[in-house]
Amino acid sequence: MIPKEIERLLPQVTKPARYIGGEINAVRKDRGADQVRVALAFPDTYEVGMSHLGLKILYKVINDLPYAAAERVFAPWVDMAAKMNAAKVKLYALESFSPIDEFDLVGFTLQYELSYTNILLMLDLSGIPLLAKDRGEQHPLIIAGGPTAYNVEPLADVLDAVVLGEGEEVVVEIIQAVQKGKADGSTRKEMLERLTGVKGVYVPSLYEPLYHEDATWRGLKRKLPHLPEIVEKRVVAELSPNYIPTAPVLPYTEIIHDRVLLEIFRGCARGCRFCQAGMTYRPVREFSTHTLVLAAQAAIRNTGYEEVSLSSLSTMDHSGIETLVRELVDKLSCEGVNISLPSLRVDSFSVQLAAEVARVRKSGITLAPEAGSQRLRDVINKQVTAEGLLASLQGAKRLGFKSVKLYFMLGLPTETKHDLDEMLGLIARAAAILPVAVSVSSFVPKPHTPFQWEPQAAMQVLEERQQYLRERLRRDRRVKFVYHDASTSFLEAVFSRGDRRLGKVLIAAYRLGCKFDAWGEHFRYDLWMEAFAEVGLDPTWYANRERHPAEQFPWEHLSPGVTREFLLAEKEKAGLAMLTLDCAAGTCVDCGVCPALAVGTVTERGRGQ
Amino acid sequence: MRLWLKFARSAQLAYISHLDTHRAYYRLFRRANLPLAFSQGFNPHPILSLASPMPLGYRSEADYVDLCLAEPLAMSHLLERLQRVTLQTEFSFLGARMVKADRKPLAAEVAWTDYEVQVLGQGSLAQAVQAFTGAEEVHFLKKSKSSTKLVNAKPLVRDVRVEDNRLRAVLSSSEPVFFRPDEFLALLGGLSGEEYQADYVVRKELYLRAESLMAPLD
Ligand code: SF4
Repeated sequence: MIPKEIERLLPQVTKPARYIGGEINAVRKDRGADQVRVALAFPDTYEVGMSHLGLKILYKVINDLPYAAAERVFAPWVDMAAKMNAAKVKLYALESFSPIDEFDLVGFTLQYELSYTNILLMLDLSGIPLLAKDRGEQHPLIIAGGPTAYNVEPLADVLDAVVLGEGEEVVVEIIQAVQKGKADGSTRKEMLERLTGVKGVYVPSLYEPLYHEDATWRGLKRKLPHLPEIVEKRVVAELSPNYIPTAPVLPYTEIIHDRVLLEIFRGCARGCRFCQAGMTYRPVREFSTHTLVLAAQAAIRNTGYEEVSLSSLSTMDHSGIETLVRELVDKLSCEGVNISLPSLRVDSFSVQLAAEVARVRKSGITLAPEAGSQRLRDVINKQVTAEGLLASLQGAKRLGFKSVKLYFMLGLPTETKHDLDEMLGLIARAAAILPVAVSVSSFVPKPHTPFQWEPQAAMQVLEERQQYLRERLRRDRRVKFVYHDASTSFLEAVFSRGDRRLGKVLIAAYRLGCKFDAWGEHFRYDLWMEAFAEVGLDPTWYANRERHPAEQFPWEHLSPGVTREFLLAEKEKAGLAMLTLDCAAGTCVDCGVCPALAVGTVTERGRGQ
Repeated sequence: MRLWLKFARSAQLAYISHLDTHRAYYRLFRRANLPLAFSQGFNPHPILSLASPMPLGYRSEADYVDLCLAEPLAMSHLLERLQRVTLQTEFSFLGARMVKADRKPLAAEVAWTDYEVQVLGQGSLAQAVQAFTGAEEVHFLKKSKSSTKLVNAKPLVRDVRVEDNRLRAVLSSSEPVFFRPDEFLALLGGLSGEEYQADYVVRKELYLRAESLMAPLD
């Protein structure tokens, strides 16, 4: 039953179905005395968070434990947040309607930097102090993990503990540690110290940041002798079928990805030099076709969905993709289930396969050449040629596709006007084949990538280049052109390579009213700049400064296993426009992950051998 | 094979929209592995309709679905499957009935809806209802998108009674006048000079266009 004080708010807000729980496949457990209660918190709307695969996995893994229960909580939309504040209704979890501050653990997903203010919003609505140091024995432990945990320093003052890497195993160890702590009557401090013994867990408050005089990072001072100097990510050596969420919670209201998301492998070793996921999720580990077909069938039975989307970093790279797709179509199409391939490789094979599974081909396909010129594509190690792209488009046209979406990035290292002109040329050649929708984002240098030393192009430069393209594409009827706001990319660049001092800016921005920054209509660049001024930090120093090759970074104590030497070598090769091959094809390129973490590439083809 | 199915939804699901409810039933039937019939055409959709849309926030103990199956299914199998997929959900499966393929859509046959309205606060509700039953004619202003007209409410109401501050009334839910419980409550307030507020509204049953009140599965 929805408590009265919550139900009363529902008629007053948009999309009330976000706040009612009660979905099919939601897990409501009886409460046991020594049960560890975990609130899985996603700092964005219900529709976004419910579409997130990681959340579905952890929900399953935790609820499979007899001694733990996971519930879900999302950021209430601004109207609901305001109503809750006014009515003094605390943020609650959707399974039991218990207030979040009654849980043992609150685990936030760190999906993108622009969701950080929503973490504060959710803590605030829960009545939990925003800063870790202000929390008391009665408060839950606030933990976070996810892609941006690899540079979590801007959130160091907020989070009690941070988890690096894949959560399936470590979350169980954390829960066991908390359960022991509860049984012993451990204090919060003792609990956190105990957690430092779990591999992959970083407790920021136990480290003190040190800076050089020029404000660059000097490193961390450990407050206790036994603390790890470097926290290494967790990685699941062999993916277990038990981790596949085959009975995901089925929402009532439509969510972003309202379909079965089938993760077919983890990691991607193509080595695009701008891509953080490509570095941090290594090595490649594939699920077998057999496992995937069974999982897809189970998920369809348990949800009634009509679509299975093969979701991985570069879906077409599964070594058994062709068999997999054919078998899925074979087993599921009679039940009216569609298979979709969201990310296509730029080659004819991918297009051909996409055509075979597409129910309605007029929808079009999406390809991401990322850069306009061959030179620049070599710089970023995106192994795509103009001829390959155009041949794919010819193929797509023959197969009945009616349009193509092309993704490019602006402001990549070494980019000049000449590269933009080549991009325009490529777009024109593509548009001669099929109508094109061009989508241009701005390059954000990410930590743990070969471009972590690079400056982001100044916002003004990015905007000039957007206009340069826009003016030249405007008159072409065959081309639709959209570009992303440069100011959000700028803020992302600041926080993605930020240090612990940015925590103050974050708090200040939240106090000024920033939230839902990833939602254009709520992004307040002016307030953010006010927050930087208030704290006395210069955002351009973080975003637009070129780093010296020897500079230490505030993310190097958080290791995804890829070595600095590899990244530096890749940076140098980028300067020379030299390519590095995909190790999943067979030859290790010594990124460092496998020996450091005692894991290896697992492919279907490899298994077959 | 054409079916009318009856479900109840828990109070927790009062705030899912008509469209969401439709989708929820569709997925429920897919999970039950029913051989659904689809419309012909470029974009086939299941032949499935809900009997009567409700305003967001109303609870329903009488959701009716009019459904076509592509092939016959033994009634016992149907019942077993629908019971299974509603186990441990906020839906309960209450019954099924086979109907002739050429019968009008259920939505077109629904004439009356039985509501329970929990009214906030104490007071004169029973007297107001008495005044209403005793009167020859009671007019109210019926507002629609395009017009406002004076309508006699008497023929729009059957079986009205009050049980501990809970109003129970069978109201017209077909053309020409769809009488909503909040409108009825406002009208009663007019009779007693008080303002009544509904705590919640439950749809208890639907009745077909017939002389006596007959539920779709009767
Ligand atoms: S260590 Fe070698 S095989 Fe392993 S991910 Fe890195 S490059 Fe690939």
